[in-house]
Amino acid sequence: MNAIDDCHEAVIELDRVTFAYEGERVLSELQTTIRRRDFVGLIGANGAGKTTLLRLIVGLLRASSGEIRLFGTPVKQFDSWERIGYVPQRNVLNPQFPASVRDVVLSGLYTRKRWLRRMTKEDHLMAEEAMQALGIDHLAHKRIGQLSGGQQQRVFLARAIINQPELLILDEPFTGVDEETQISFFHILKHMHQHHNMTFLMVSHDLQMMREYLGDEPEHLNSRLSLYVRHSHGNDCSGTDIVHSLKEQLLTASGMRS
Amino acid sequence: MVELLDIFTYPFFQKALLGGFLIGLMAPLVGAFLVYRRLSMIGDTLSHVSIAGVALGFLVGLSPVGFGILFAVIASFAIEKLRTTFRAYAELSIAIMMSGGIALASFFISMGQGAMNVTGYLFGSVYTLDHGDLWLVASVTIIVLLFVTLNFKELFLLTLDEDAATVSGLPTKLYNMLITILTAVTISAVIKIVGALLVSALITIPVAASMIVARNFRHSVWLAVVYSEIAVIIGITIAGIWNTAPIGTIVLLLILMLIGTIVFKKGWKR
Repeated sequence: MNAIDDCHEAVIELDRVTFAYEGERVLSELQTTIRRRDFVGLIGANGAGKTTLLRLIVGLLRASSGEIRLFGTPVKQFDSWERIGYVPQRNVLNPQFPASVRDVVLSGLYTRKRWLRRMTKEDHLMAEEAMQALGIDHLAHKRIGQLSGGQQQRVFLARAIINQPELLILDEPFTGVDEETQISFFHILKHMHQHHNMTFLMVSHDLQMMREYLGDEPEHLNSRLSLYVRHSHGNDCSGTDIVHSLKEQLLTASGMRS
Repeated sequence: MVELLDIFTYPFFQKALLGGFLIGLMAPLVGAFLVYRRLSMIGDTLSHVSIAGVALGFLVGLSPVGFGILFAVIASFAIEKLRTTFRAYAELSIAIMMSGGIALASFFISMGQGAMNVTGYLFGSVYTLDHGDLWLVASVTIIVLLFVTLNFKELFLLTLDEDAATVSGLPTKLYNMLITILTAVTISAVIKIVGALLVSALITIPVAASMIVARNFRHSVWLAVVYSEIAVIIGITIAGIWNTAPIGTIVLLLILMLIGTIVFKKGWKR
């Protein structure tokens, strides 16, 4: 295999994935492949099964039949979760939960492999840099519930990228934030897509933000779910540091701080 | 004044203080991970079921506390089961288990024909601690303390967002089970001392107060312990000197501290 093939290996494969809930088929025989460096928008109306599919992909639900593979490994056996960054829906957060911004960002480093290990100075530095990269370092001591929706989103994005993930999954990132915030957030994602060896899967019921970047010709998974895909033209698979590059971009571009 | 402080020289009072100190440490540590996951009522529920176990223990003449722990552990898994059955009405499982526990307790008590000292377990008795009670409470406190300090990062992740914790590779089912068992054991181990009716207060109120002022998560957990210990030590002392109900005094102090914290926070903001 040459380097170019390596660049576009399958990251997420759905192989005749069916999911039934209480006897009712929610998803039926879904088939698709998402390749390295793709930017994929998963679009569907409320109730179309977007969240179900996302939960299947990250192993929170089991498919009734068919198989899902992550980086070539069936999701049941997959255990390299540090390769995946996950930005949950904002409404999972209880606004009174007493966590600081730094708590949340640092928790991106709490994986199974670090059980019993204390957070080191380097870990704290990494969190600091991730916060700087997303322009939220001045909020480090604030409680997460005191932040605006757009700021909270950046906190969860900072947490997701702190491990330099190869696959970033975002669940409805545009819900409940104003358009200006959506644009600047999507701008960050585009930057990461264009400059890094990263794959994106973003779930949304809102097309507007995606259309310009992802085009008008979706791949239909079924009658209600569509994938809008932008492939990356670059064949450079060398991993560059996401956090540092975002930080540099922040220094040159103004107005990113919200 | 000197006479008032004589009470500190009595062994029964020293034991009460020591037992209170240990409970004041472990209750909010367990409580934090229940309250922040919106499971505040679990403490009350398990204590009611535990009473049924205690009653059965008296009835058959074997360790009441052992049966209490067993019943609470079984109940905590039954609650999980009921929660998935009535997914949209999860609080129903709490109501069912709580009344079920008391029903079972009254059933066992009636079979014992009044020969049992179960009422002591409803309100607790701080002044009748023996060495066995202290050893039990000390052992559970050490287990809780070790579990929380060694797994603090993981518990934070789980409490913040269970789904995200699973996706980051945390064995969330295992952690949920451990927390459940630990809660059941903690409650059963302390109901003889603090009473089934008030154990929930020691678990939840310190956490409620610390939540209001904490700067970050670690701070909120340890501040809850500080609130709890202040109330326990002052409460037992007041109760010892003025002969009031010790646990009732502690809980009232906790509520006063909670109100004080809310008022302080409001005034400070203005």
